[in-house]
Amino acid sequence: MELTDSELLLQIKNTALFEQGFRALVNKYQEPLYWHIRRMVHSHEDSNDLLQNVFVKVYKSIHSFRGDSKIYTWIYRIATNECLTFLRKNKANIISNLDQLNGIKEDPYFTSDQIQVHLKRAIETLPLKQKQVFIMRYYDELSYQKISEIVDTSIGGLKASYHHAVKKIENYLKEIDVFTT
Amino acid sequence: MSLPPNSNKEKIPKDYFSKMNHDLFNKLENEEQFEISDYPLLNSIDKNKDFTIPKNYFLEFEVPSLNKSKLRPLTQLISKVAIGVIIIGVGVLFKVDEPLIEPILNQGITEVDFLNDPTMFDVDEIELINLMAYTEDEIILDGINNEELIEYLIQESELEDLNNLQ
Repeated sequence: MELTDSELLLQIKNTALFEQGFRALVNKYQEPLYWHIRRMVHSHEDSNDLLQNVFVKVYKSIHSFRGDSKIYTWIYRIATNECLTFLRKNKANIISNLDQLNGIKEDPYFTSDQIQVHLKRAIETLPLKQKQVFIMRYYDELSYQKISEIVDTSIGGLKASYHHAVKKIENYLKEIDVFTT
Repeated sequence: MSLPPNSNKEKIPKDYFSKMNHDLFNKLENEEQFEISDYPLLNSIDKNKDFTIPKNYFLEFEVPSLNKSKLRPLTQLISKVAIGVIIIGVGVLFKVDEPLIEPILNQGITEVDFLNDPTMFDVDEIELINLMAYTEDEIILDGINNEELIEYLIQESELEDLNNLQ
């Protein structure tokens, strides 16, 4: 049976149960975090490295986690920050984003579906913050309330941002005539 | 405002009215202002068919810090043994060198009387005599003021002159 966040936190705060609690935390969040990171950075190898970094950071600072926010929000925030730092460092401009998309087709863990390539290209045209919100809402299916807690932005702002992102993507797909190419 | 005559409070969930505002607010906030279905191209794409992952990836996923913690007791043991070996090594080293170091450490500052120093017997006799003569003159002249010295030198020179005349 999966433990609630409060139960996990209680285990982690108990020195004797720390490792067991931390492993349970990893098991609970590895999948949603992986998929968020993967959609942000595309490559499986990079996603794996980032996911490990996220949990290493959680491991090192979990004892100082005061519980002001929900543990889910806290971990997710670490993950999104890791992604943004990585993307700013490695994919700071449009040219490298396009390079990244060219590389995506060679990724053995990408479906190589042409429509998916077009969708990824469309997402890459978005500003970084908009891309982040789009992935959280569209792929991760998080509520605006949760996204708001994670990225510390108003719900109204997030809705507007997501709407803009969807419109841009739809227009991009229309322009390239996605179903005939 | 009064309650309707047939209202029955027992049939209303506890905190219904106090929670209603909160629930309604959440519902309004989370309500989509638009539908993805309004965007046919995006809507037609299966969003979950983009990436795949290596087999058993999540089952085999390990966090490096947890692996480290398994090794920690062994690492600590090795560190302790290494520190022990170093301390013993340093101790043994000082023990071996002790006879060589001890005389130097015990040797205080001593006054050397070069005249009674047996090593000085190797010095040439002439050098030793000059050195002693200089010391004697110094002793004679010690305590004589300038006037007496001048008088002494004049007398000495006069005596020398007389000796020459004779």
